[in-house]
Amino acid sequence: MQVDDEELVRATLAGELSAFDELMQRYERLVYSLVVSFADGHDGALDLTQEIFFKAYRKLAAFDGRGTVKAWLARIAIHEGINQAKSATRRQARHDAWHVVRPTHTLAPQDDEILSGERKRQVATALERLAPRHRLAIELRYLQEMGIPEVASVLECSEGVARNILFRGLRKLRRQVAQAS
Amino acid sequence: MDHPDNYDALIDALFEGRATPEEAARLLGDTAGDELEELAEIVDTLSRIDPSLRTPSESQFRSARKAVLDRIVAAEAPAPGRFSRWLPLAAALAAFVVGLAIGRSDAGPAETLTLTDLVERGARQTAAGMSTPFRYSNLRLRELDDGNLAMSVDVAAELDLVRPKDDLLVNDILASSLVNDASLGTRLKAVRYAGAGPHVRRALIAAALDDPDFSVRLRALERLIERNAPAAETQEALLAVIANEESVVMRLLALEALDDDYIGSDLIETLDNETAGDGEAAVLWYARQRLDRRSL
Repeated sequence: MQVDDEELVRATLAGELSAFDELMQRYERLVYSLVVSFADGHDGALDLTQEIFFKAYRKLAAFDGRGTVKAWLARIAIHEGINQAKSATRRQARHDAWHVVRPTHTLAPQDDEILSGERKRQVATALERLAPRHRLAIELRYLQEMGIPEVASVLECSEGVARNILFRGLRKLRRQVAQAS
Repeated sequence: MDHPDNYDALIDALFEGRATPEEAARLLGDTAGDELEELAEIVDTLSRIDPSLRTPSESQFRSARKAVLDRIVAAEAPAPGRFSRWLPLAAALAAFVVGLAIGRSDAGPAETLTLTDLVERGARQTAAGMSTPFRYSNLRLRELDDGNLAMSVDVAAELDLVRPKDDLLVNDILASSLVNDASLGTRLKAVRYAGAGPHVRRALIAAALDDPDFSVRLRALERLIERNAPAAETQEALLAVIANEESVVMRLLALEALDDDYIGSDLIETLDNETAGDGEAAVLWYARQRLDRRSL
């Protein structure tokens, strides 16, 4: 029987690093997916994923068990992703301001390399173009299969607001897909 | 439709495919009739995207996990002093590391040591009942035809060092701490004790520009200015601070420290374009003052 996340947290806090390894295995793809669009390419996203788990480990004692571990990790990931994006924006602005040529932003591996079906590619590409809050809500709800309460917990808003963000995000996604096609 | 609470249940029904046409029409209100169908199709497509297909391979994640665990182990290593009896061995290892770093071969007996020699020495001491300063992880091994074992293992060691402030290794460690997410206190100490050299200067520049903590950015900028290094990269860093730093204090400090050659109409124009508030106006005013002083 699979050990639940909270038990793994307790074991980690008791000094069992293998328990934290198990937690990372469970949620590394979630964390990576949430930060990939904030990071500078695939390698940057993987580095950021490592950074997030390291910070999560250091903050583990502060996990109060009120929400799920999954939502807690997702929240840390999003905050770190946003910080990373802000930092990258500052760096880009600095270079732009002084006319220094910088390599263009490297996107994560294009979905058309790995997704089957033109429609999936269109939708996934359009998803990347949405504003972060809309994109994250959709990513969490449909790709990571979180329930509305968990999405709300990650986005740190009420369930009603989460639904609203999700609904508006879907409408914008629909418009993006329509424009692309 | 204006308040989310009014249509929570309907949205749930829509998202879960339970909405009747009437409910969908109410939800979508004034939107075109075909929007529901398109939204449902997009939700369906999203549900069929396998998120794991967009992520790295298992081996890449395994390496990432290992890196995190190694970092945790390193961060939780016992406090300095506990392995004081290992100082001679640590010093030998440090000499080895420095020898590697500077590529010299005049370090006396220590330069003939390989890393394997040092680890073997540690193992001998462990066999004699002492604790080892080395930590092993990520062991890969296989038995060879001749009965020997072929092993590959990552070795991490804790060093206790007493060195001059301008020591090469000391400054390499301080510079690395500045850019590799040490704690705030460690970063501040690293700025305080950072020595000279291009490697350290680049670390200070990175800290002055990008450290998330204002106190580190400010101290790093002050250190750069104290050095009065004429390096072009320092001047470019000052320009970057003037252009992008949120703190007016730091921008004014950078303006004051900027070489006259860099104070020109281009800078004024750039600042003029960016002026949007009181803080920016102060920076622009001061930049004009400096330009006037230069013109005299």
